[in-house]
Parts: sequence; C-alpha cells; structure tokens
Amino acid sequence: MLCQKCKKNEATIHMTQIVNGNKREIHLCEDCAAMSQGVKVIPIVTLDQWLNQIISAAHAGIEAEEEEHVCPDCGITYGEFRAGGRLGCPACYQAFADPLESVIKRLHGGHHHTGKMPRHVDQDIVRQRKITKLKEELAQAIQIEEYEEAATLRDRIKELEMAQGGGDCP
Amino acid sequence: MNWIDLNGPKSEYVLSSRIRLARNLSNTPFPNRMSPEQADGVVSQVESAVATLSHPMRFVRLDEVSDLDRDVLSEQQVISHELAQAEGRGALACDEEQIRGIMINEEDHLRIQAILPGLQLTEAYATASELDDSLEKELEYAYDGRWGYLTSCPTNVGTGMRASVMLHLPGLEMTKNINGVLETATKIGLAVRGMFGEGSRLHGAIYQVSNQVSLGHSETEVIQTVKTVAEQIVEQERRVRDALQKSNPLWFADRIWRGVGALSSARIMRLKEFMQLISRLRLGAAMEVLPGIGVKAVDRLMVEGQPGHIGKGISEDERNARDGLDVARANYMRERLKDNLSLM
Repeated sequence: MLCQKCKKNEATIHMTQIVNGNKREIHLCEDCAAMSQGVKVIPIVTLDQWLNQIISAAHAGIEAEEEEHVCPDCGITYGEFRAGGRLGCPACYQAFADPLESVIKRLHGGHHHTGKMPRHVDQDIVRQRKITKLKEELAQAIQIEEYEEAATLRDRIKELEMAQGGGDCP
Repeated sequence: MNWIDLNGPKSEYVLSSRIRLARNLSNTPFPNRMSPEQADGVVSQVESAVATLSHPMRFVRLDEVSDLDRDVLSEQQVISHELAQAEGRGALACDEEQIRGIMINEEDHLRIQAILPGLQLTEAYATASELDDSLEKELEYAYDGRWGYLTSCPTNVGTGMRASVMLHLPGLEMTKNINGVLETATKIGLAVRGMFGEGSRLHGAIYQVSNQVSLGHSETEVIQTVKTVAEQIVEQERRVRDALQKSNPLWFADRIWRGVGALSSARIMRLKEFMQLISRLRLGAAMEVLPGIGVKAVDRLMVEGQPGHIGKGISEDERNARDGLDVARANYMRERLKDNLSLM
C-alpha cells in the first residue's frame, strides 16, 4: 500500500482517527507520519548505500570499456566492484588505480595515507612522507616570512631527496 | 575477568571504547573472492602467528561453533554480527578478558580489535596497535605507500581503523535533545548509529559514535576527534541528567523505580522492552538513585538479557515454546534482581 500523502513510498504506519464520531483510516510512510507529528526524521543511510552513491557519482562519465576492465590477479571486473562495493584483492588497487582515485578522494577527502605503516615497508616511503611534510612546513615558513627557518627546511629536504636516489633537486 | 565487568573512566555515560584495525595479507584475494582452500590458508597463517604472541589467545574456528554460541560471542562483541551469521570459513582469536581480539575472514582477512570499558580510546588503540605490531612480524600485510593498508572495501583503506565509543544517552533522549547532538557529530564527519535496534528504531538509548574516514588523517588525529566529540556529548548528557534530577527528584526516582519494578516482576519480557527498562536501571545506577547496584552490574545484565545468552540458558523445547525466550528473560531478570533488590 502506498502512502496516502506522498503517494510514493510504502505506507508503514497505519492510524485510525476518530473525529466527531467518524472513523478514518490513515496510511502513511515513515517520513510523512513523522512530518505530520512535527518530528524531524534523520534519514539513516547504510554504509553500502553511501558507498554506492559515491561510486556512481565518481563515475558518471565512465566508459563502458572501463566497466569491463579486469584485475589481472583476481579476475574481478571494475563493473563487479561497482555493483558489489568490494574489491577482489590487494592488486585491484593498482589495476583500477585511475577510477579508484576519484572514488577514494570522494570517500575520504584526503588521498594520502599519513598514519601507521608496517615495519617492513621500504624506507623510501618513510622518506617520501617526511619530504612531503617538510615541503608543507617550508611553504608555511615562506608565507610567514620565516626565511631562516625556510632555509633550514630546504636543506633538510635536499638531504632527504639525495638519499632518495637523486631526487629532483633544482 | 571480562572487560565488561571492569570499571572505566566515565562509565556512567560510556559503555565501551573500541578500536578496530582492518588488515589483509598481500598476494591473497580478499575474503569475498577467496576459494575455500585460500580461506583455510589464511586461517592457518593467522593461527600460527597467534601462537607466537606473548599474550596468550584462544583460537576458535567458527564452523566448529554452534549458531547459539556464535550469537553469544557477537553479543559479547567478540565477533561482529556479520561474522556470526556468515557461512564461510571464519575464525576468531581472543584473550581471556576479551579485550584483545582478531576476527579472521570477516570482510577483511584480519580485523584486529581492542575493546575497553569507559572512555579509553587512546588506551584501546595502544593495545590494538601493539597486537598489530606483533602479528606483523609473522604476516605480510597488503600495504601501499600512498593508500596505506589495503582493504576489501575502499571505505576502510588507509589506516584501516574504526574508532568507536558506545554511549548511553537516556537524558538527551528523554528531553528530545538527542537529534541535535547527533546531527552535529554527523556534520563533522562522524558516523552515529543506534545499537540494539532494528533499522531506525533504537532501544535502550545506546548510541555508537565512530569515525567515517580512514585516509588522510593519522590514527592519533582520528582518535582525538572521536574522543573530543564523545567528551562533549557526555558533558551535555551530564548536564541534562543533573537538570532532570534537580528539577523534579521525585519524578526522576519514580521513573527509575518503575523500571526496576517491571524488570523484577514481569513474566514475559520482549527484547525491546528489556532494553528500555535496563536503560532506566543504568541511569538509576549512574545517578545513585539505586544504592545497591552499579553501572557495571547493569552492563553485565544487559549482555545476559540478549537473545543468545538467554537462549543458551534454556532447553531447545523451552526455546521453541510460545514466548519462550521472553519468558526465560523475565524469569532470569527476576532471579538476578532478587539479590540486588534487598540492597536497594
């Protein structure tokens, strides 16, 4: 049965109103029932619904061939991920790097992990992360005209970039 | 001793603080795409890693556990509801206090968790992270320099961390302030959901606040945010409770004692009603209206009143009888409250 008020949603709340001895049946959906009581309903969106919306929004312009793109390690297609919301294996992050980047950015705002890392992880990643952080500090130091501080920071960045194997020194 | 029975900071308002870290093994498909053999392989690898831990843990393969026992584990928050229901080859490892745990082959290969009573997110993270470090010596995690810990669902990628606190907010609910408070938490990127309810219907005024985002902020930053918001909500709840009690102490006490009355004399008690009454009992214990009972004792009762725990205590015939669980729940609560009532 559809809601009598909005005529869109399924009616889940059934009321009997008696006004001046006249009985009246009312069938409303949750939203309309809440509104008629002056209650504000906070829509509960499940994590999966939310994820689906984001994946769809990120891929409004995606080509059909992208949907067919297959992860070489586990064989899942991008279309399957899109439908189910779960990737197939760690290698999927490489296989679908381009479209995933936009999904992840929309989900998290950020696009670089800055937290904990396993001990076995390459020292390069650790250095790279330090460089990124120092560069942010450098930009800030320049902005507030702390040139002495900026010079020190620049030297430290250079050092790290050299250790990184050449780096892109100016 | 189980963590549920231990006291924690702000226990009057906060039931528990929990940290969950999602981890996956490199070169292995995620659980949703594993063959049964691969799933068994993950279970064995984790079992061997667990055996090397200095802090001993029991290891349980869930296909060897009855449905009822899985429900019990899920009600004790040792495993998720999803893993309790799952058909696959899941397993669990946990210590005696049920503070440290690992769910194996849930949505990710490993879900490391630490749960502590009261507001102790930082401590829970230290515990979970330490367990993570020990396991990492034996297992090779899927990790990417840019995207962090790789997870089956991109909503968890990065830290793989979910930091959550379970709050008891009867005052904010009673005074209809709850929606405003929760909306604010949602606005700053935290997820709020009711516990012990179906869909949008909440029972027992218990809410879980947790982070939504796992990439771009460090674990410490995320924990700080969740902790600060939880503290603010707790402060508002404290004020409302005080105001309610001061403005009409008799009405306040009456509400709680009526709850005690129903809990200690009902003959049939549905879960929803049970949660409503236990919430009043917890409020009474927290506000020292009920002298003989503390919040931790109420939290224990709350767990014991859940369907799995009640079902476990009765025979199959009793379970299948009309209102079987509800009758057993009422009987159990009458018996348990008898001793406490003499003290009240």
